[in-house]
Amino acid sequence: MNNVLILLIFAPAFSLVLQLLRFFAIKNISAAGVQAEKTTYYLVMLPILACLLGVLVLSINVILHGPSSHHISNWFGSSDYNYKIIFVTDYLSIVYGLLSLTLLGTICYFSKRYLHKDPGFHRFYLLFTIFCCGLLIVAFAGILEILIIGWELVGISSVLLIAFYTTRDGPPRNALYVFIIYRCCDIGLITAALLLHYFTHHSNFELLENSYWYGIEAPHDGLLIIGLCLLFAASGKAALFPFSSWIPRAMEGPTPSSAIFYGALSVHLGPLLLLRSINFFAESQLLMTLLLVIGVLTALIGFLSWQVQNDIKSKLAYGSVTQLGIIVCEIALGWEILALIHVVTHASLRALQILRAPSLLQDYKLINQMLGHSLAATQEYDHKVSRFRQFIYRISLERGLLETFWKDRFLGTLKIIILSFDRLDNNIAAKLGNAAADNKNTVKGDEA
Amino acid sequence: MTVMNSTLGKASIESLAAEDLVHELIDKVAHYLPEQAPIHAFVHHNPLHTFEHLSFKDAVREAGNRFQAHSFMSEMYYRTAVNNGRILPDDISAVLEAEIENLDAVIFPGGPTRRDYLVWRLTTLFDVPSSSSVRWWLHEHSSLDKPHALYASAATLASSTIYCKASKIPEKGSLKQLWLYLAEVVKPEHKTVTYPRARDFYLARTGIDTDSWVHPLLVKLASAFVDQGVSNHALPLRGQGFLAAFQAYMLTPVLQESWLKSVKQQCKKQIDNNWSSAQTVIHLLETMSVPKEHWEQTIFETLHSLRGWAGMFRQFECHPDKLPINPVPGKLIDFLAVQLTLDLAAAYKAERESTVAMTDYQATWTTPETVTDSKISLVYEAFVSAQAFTFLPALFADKTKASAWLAEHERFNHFERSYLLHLAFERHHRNHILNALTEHQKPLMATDVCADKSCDHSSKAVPKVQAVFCMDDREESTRRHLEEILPEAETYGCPGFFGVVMQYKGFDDVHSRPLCPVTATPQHFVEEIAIDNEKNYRSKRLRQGQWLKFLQRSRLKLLSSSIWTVAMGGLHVASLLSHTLFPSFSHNLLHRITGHHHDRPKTTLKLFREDDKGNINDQRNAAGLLPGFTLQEATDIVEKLLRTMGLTKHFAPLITIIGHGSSSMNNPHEAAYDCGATGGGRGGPNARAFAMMANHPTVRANLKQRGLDIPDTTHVVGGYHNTADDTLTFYELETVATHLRDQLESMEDALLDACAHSAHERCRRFNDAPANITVQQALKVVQRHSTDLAQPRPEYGHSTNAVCIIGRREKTRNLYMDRRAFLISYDPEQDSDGTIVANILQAAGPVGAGINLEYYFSVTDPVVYGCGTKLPHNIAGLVGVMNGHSSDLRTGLTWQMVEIHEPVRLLTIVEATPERLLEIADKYPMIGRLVGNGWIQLISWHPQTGELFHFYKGKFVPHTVTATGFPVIDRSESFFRGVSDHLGCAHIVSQNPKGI
Repeated sequence: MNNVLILLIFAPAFSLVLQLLRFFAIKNISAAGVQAEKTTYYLVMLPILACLLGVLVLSINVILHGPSSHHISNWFGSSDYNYKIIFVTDYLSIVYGLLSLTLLGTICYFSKRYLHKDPGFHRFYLLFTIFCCGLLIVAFAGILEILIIGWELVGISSVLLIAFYTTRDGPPRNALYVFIIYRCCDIGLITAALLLHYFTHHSNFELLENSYWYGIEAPHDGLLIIGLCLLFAASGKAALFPFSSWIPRAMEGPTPSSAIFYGALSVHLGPLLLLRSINFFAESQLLMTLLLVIGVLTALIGFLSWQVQNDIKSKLAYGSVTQLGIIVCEIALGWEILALIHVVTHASLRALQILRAPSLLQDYKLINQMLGHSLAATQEYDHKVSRFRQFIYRISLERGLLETFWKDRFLGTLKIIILSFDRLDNNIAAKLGNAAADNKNTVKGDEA
Repeated sequence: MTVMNSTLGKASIESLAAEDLVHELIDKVAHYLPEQAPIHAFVHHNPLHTFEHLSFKDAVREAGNRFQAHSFMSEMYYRTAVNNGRILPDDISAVLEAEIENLDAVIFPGGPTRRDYLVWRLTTLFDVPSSSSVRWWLHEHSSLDKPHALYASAATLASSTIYCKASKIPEKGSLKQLWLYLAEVVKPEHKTVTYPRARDFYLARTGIDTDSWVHPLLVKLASAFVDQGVSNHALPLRGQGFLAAFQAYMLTPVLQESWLKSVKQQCKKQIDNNWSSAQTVIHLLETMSVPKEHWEQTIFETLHSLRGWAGMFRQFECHPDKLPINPVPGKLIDFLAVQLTLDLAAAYKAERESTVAMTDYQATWTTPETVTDSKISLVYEAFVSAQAFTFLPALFADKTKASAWLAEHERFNHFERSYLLHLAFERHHRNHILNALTEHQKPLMATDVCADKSCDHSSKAVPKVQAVFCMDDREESTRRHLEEILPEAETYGCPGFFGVVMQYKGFDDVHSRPLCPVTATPQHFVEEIAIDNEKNYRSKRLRQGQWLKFLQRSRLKLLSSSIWTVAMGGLHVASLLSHTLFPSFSHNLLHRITGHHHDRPKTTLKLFREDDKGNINDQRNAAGLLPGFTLQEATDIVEKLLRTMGLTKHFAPLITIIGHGSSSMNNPHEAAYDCGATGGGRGGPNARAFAMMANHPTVRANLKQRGLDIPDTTHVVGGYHNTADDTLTFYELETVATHLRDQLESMEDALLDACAHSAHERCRRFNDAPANITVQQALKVVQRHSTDLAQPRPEYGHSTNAVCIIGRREKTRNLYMDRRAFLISYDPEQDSDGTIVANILQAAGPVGAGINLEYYFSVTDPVVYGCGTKLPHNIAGLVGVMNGHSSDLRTGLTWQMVEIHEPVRLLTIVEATPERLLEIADKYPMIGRLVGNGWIQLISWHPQTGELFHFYKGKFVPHTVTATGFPVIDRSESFFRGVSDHLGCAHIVSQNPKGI
């Protein structure tokens, strides 16, 4: 089994190295034509298929022998403190593994035609491979540090794909926005790992009580703080409250990348982390309540925003947010298996919906033809609008005001504080400078 | 910072009341906004329509300045054309000869002539840094120490004393000397600038772009306002106009960004004073102290910062009938008022965040700033070319010589050079086509004579089949292949609405739509009605529809949507996989499940409003349309079309009329692939209507009286050609008489075969089709292209359009034209007074030019005129596409549609004498404008002598044949097979014509 696991991690990584080497070998690869596109495609598709086969083998193993953890090798350590490279095969990892690889394979096949002749074709597939690597590492990681590596790979490839079109200034700007939120929330994950080592001296995953999958063991000390950190990390990645505002901004890349990253896989890593840390929520009533509140708020804001979004990709993005909120609620209520099923079905549905988003006009026409009249889905408010409705509408159109809060209030305040420190610093420096100048003058005066 | 020539004189600005002035200015500025309708009704048009009163060159120059757009391809593109032989040295020198005066004058005494300089400059590309980076550039490339790579690349007169010896490397320090001499004479240019918008001022002074605050909010609100059904709840109060809805929105108390507080105050002030939109605009312009004479400029620049959205508001205002569902009262002036309100607040924010006060901005109106352009990049350009000509540096110690040299560079700047190169590119293409046409007339080869004769012979006799197609360039290959397969067939071309101007409602359609050119207004309403089985079908469809609606509605609820998501999970996975992996299969499967095509009842058109007894129903419907045509009107339509095409005798037993359209998946721009002559609709119903008219016994009898004796044994069949998957559908085949059945079958076979071969020919452009693909495989490939979600190129549309030939098909039959020609049938011998050709030019000229120029500008500037790559497109409000989640509405064609397009102005070749064409151009101002201002290239093809004349600078110039020897091939396939690039013309000489 260890060999299969190594294959899972190394097949995409190997393809990544080959692709990078090709960038060096072939100058101006974007002009290299169809044959080069084909080669790149196979370089990505074959590892995915190999991994898919590997995961199938692992699934059989899990079904026959139950979940197991595999110690691949030691990473580093001293005599009494070891960082091991551990991967786990359990129901959670194989479900995520199968889902990811199926969708990755599908999108890989889709993008070959969709991105054909695009100058960024090869770059897209490179980032796609990094993403694949990251996903597999996150799904199969057996200790938190390994998971963090995968987590970061997913984050960086997502951000670079948002900034895919560099000739306009919108995509890089939005990518930066997403990057900042991702990085801030990553702090939660890293802190959680540090605290785990502090309290329990290891960050290995243990088989949970439900015996379906491995998870982080909840320590007695620091339960609350570690749980909060993990929750913080998960809510950034999964666009939960209060970080939902990044998700429409992520719709800048080519349609397939939007479908797989922000519709299907990337956002569902949040629930994965929550499922891995399910012990925390079982142990602490407070954490569970918090999770439930976050879930409900996310679903509510997602739902309100979804109702009034008027471009199809933002609408689908907020559809995702709504479902993610509900998935989180399910986790909080202890319906983990339901949550897992929900993740799988939602990811496939959303990927399909985003892929066929440009068909919106045809879809509308078809349904109108079938009904024999226009499906006037839009509710009009022309004359009497209650203040409440107006209020709800504005909150919905501004996507729960989260962006206003973060950008204007939070960052605005931060900026004022930083600027006042800057002023203080300047003042002190000026005073010191004056004093120094005075000193010099006096010295000079003495010499004279 | 553009400079505008105000056509409203100073006096009229002063005299008009401020409000009237604002309205007038908005009407004027609106002409410069994109005129694209909501995307489901996309119609090709010239993006520079507003500039058509100018000559082509002046128009693209002015539009380029106004919109910051490119008007020609890059110099690199033309350079590649030179390398590939698509521009020959001959072409360049001929263009210079015609365009440039004093070509052989020397630039300065003893120096090279203007011709020498230009020939070198037009074929030589080198990078010229911008003025601000010249210093860095010189340092980085050590340009002052070592000679440029182009050193001594120009042809020089070695005998003259002003040149260095070419082989000799310039002495140290001489380059520096050369640079100094040139830099000394250049005079920096001082310009006074005003900033039309406060945003421009802050951007220039502080680097803060206030549009980055205003645009996201404005786009969000504008798309909420125009939304036609994406969202479930509309923007409250949108029925009262954008400004009112905006004010109500802004006054809603929620947490908002701090800069919006001043917007709120502004809105309150506007409401309290009960200002109209115009008054609001005036107030805002006055607050920013914009003087009245600059209002136009400010309004122009403001609206142009979001030209797509502003244009859409204008469309809502002017053509509310084109909206898909909700006639929302959009008004451009409301949009402007809202944008100015936000701009002002953003300017105050910029004031707070920087040290530059708004009063500084207001002061720029009275005391304009001066900007200096050092023009040092011009020095660099002259410096490099001086090296290419290996001038001795000392030469330029004479300041007059140095300034003459610089002046030459300034005159032939990037724009002028691109223009000349483009003319050379067009000339090469034109000569190629005209030579081919000339040579095609000559009985060159013995076999050709034979083939032509047999052809002529068969056409003099009664042909087996006559097929009428749309003039569309995509049908060129279908027609050519049909003639190859069935030599006894004759083909005709005409605008694809076939003279039937109608408002049409298909059996499945919810709304009716016009099926005619955009310039015509339909007076007749035609409906497709079922003959049998309607109830069954309708109820089944309704059940399916309600089921779909239920699913959609269930997604509207928070909980049911989750249940739906979870419960249908397996189905989603299966559907996702099958749609991506097996697109054609799942497309067909879906069709089978919905049973759309099987149960569809037989239908017919409710075409006539006159019954057999001659009772005419003149009751107009609610929209003021007549319920169909009278038989008299039908006779007129049929007669006019037949006479226009010159199809007045030798009627074949079967005549097919074939309209066309295109179907594709995941493609918001689907309408742009449909038939331009039906206003972006599908021309099948027009063909069907025409066939029904032509088959009507009374119409036949009327026609006989008018001298058009169509034999009773002749039957007209209507059909529809889907140009994306190359399928054909015929209408009302059951009405064909039994004795024609066999012929019908063979005709169907031949037509289907022709479409398959046409698909085969199209595949050469697709990279996913192998070079040795068979005809049957090709059909599968094109079918996959039209059903695949992942395919951004269902077909290449009009990408290859370049030529339009109005004349007899005999003259172009068997000429391979690479799907590049609009072909319109016209027989000059049956048009003694020129009215027919004038009508054709009036109808087809704007359609052809519109398509051609839309492609031209979308490919020369995909950012401004085109809508860029379609991969990140996002449908907003069902009216247009944005890039990503918030951007301007993108207009024009996608990059995937135009990537293989070679921009040339439509080469319109008319079989008429020069005198007649001049007469027509004089008589009809629209044609005169298109031709006289050079928006199309007009060629007169003498009907008797076969001579060709090119219309150039107001008169017809005879064309001299320069090249001979075009390839002779036995069938099209042997010419295009395995080639994916551009192909020229070729003569097809069929070796063994196979009959059926």
